[in-house]
Amino acid sequence: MQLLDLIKEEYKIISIIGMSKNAGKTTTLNEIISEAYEEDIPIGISSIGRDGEALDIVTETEKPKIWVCENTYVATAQSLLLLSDANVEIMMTTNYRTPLGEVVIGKVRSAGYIQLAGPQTLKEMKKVSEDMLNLGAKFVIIDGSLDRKSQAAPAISDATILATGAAISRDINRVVEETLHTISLLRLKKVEDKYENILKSLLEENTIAIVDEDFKVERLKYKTALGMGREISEHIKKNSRYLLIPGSLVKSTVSEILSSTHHYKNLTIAVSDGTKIFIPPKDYLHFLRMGLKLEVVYPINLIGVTVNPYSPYGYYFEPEELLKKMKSYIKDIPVIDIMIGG
Amino acid sequence: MFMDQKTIDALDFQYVYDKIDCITPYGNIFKSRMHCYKPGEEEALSQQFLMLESFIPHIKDTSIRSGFNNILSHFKDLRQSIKRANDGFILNDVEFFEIKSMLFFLRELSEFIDKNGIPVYDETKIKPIEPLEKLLDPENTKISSFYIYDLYSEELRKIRDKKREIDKSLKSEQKSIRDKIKEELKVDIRPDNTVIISKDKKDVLDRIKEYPQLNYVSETYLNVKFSIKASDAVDELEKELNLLRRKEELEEMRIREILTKEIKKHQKAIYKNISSIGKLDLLIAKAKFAVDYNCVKPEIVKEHIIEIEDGIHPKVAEMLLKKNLKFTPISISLKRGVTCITGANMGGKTITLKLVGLLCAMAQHGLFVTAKKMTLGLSEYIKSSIGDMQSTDSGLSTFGGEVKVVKEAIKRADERGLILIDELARGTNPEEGYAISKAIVEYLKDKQAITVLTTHYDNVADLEDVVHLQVVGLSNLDMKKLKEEISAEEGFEIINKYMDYRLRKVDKDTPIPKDALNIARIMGLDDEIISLAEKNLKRST
Repeated sequence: MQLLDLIKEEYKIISIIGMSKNAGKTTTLNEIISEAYEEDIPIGISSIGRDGEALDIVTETEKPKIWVCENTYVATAQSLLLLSDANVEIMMTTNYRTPLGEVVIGKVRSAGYIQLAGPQTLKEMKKVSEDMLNLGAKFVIIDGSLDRKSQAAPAISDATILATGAAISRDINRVVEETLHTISLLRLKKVEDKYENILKSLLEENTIAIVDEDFKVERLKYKTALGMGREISEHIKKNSRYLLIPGSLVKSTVSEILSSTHHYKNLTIAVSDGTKIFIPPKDYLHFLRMGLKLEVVYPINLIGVTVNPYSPYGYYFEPEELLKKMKSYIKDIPVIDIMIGG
Repeated sequence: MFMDQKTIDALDFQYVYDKIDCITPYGNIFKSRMHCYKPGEEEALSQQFLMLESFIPHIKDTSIRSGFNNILSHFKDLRQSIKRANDGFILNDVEFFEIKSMLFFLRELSEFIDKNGIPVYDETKIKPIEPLEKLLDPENTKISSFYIYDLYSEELRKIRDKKREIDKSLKSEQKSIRDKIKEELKVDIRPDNTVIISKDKKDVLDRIKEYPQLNYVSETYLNVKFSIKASDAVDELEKELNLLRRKEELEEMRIREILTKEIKKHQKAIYKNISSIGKLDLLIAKAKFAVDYNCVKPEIVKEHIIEIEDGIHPKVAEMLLKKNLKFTPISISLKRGVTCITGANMGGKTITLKLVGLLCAMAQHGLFVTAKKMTLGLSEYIKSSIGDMQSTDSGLSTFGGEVKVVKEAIKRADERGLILIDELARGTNPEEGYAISKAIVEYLKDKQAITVLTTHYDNVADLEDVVHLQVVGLSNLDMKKLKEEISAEEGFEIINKYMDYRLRKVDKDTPIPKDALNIARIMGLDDEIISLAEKNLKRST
């Protein structure tokens, strides 16, 4: 099965997120680019940077070199575009700043390697993606990471591909378990329709808030949910319907809430999307048994999982075995080995 | 200095300034240097007003207005690139792109102006730079993207053709090797030209070991990785390709250098356009303000007078509108010497001072004013002592500040200026406050400046040569009838409803109306206290 088949004609903005560094995100991206080139489909690519962390971007964030073919649209920082050994026609400048210069959209005239460092906010990323579509890209691929600091690219894309692989652990079962856990978080259900708009606007305000069954909103003044579980739970009443946590949701917050109020049975915790939850698999399952309900404001449309059986740390799994194992647990989403295909 | 910061704040000039909505970075530069016209520049200011006036009917047309907004929004600040070109640096492709976009939008702007019959002045004239357009759009595509085009040099075209050709033969050479391997060994070749074979397939491995086109790379317990050996032909082609790439790069650099020099040659024309865009943008922004706020062109005269008919303070009007209240337009006529404004509390005396100052400041900055009519002789300065009514500080500290301002104003009282003093010495005891106020009026009444002063004290205005204006206030009101309404509405709104904010010229010794008790009554002070106060009043008079 080809990766391109996952995208078909259906999706316009697709994000690729990796479970960890070296999980095969770049390989997945390269694979889509070459498949699109083979079929003569012009596509757009970019990556989403980390919000406001200049140093991090300059020193630490991986900026893999991507091989781009003719007629590919790229949105990347000016300095990286000019460094590229591909010949790129400058199509548009944006006013979006990155530590590596303004984001520029170009069209590849002759193939070569290029580094990606796209816009730093979701709003800018969305605009840049739309610009590339307007210029002629059939679809746009966003390279997004999956860690606490980065923006969740899935929130602005129609479809998401998850890259996982041996790099996560030497234990094949742990790789499978972590992957399944991430998938179940990414695919969390959307909040109830009738609460959706309230929760969206509260999310925009970036406030922790409780919405009760009569749609009454109580805004809590805590800047973060971290370490405030007990305080937050004091506001939870019998008729509380949703607790909105706009930032990250971590284990300790959930455990504090579950242990200090009895009213959580009727309550659902809502977060922006599945990338915002940082609870280890074991604890997550334990919380679910205790009656925790989690939903998201922006659901993610996971269309595929890519698997990389090789780890750059010098070990690997038998490709067939990893793929088989993954496929036996993940029934309803295609799983593709990007190294051997299929 | 025309206005100090305190005066700018007191008049809410910043509010008006912020509403001047320039779109381009160049417009904002001219806005930040907005010229203030002083006495002697009446002719120049009138010229400016004529230009602005000529734009008003066009800006009223929303399609023209949004057309301008749209085109102007594309201009970026390119001065840094032009300077770099001038300093001998070589511009990069993004800079060429930005200059090319600017050239295209210059043409669009110039055509838009022609098509819509917008008046053109020397300082706002947009002149497309055709030679540069041709230079950066050699294929004449009229698309604003940029690339080092093949057309720039025969040499570049040859290099690129050759590159393509070699690339093609390289790919077909590689493909034929891949196909051959696939055919002969029945294995899959991965995109990076490697082959991974499971150790189970011993027969294949054995065959590969003998196979000349595959190289062993590495192995694991489970499989072995091979890579395709480059044939001599492939090696040769790759070498040549690399050589061509280097040549291409050098040639591109040479072309960038030539392009940069050409741009440098036209820098004067570019700078002229930059300046025109900025001035045009500011002019349009002023016109948008004038249209949005129903402004009128002030008439500038040599004589030092200020006449306002139905003036509106835009910020106060906006605040009132939020409360569903209407600003009562104020008319006032001022000349050299002192004018005293007296009248009821909450009668808008302070607003009148602010309005006079603000409209003068607007006019002298080349803006139309929020009034039905205004005639104005220019001032060298505006000096104000207007307290912030919400401010908590009072008493001596306020008084100290007032004295400081008055001292500064008196220093310049012999120049043509505008001095605005609100409720002088209100924080002191009445006897001294009265004495000081009166002394200042006596001093200023023969000076060059126009002074407007509000006061609570009787008899401050009763001097010869001092104009006395009074807020009409609540004097025409039937308090009994009013009392019935009080419970229904908020006090502020009632006062606003019945307060007659108009000014009337009165005899110099007309007493100040005693509206304070009425206002206290409307605002809901206990009846018992009100009647005690009335008794006290009777006793003292």
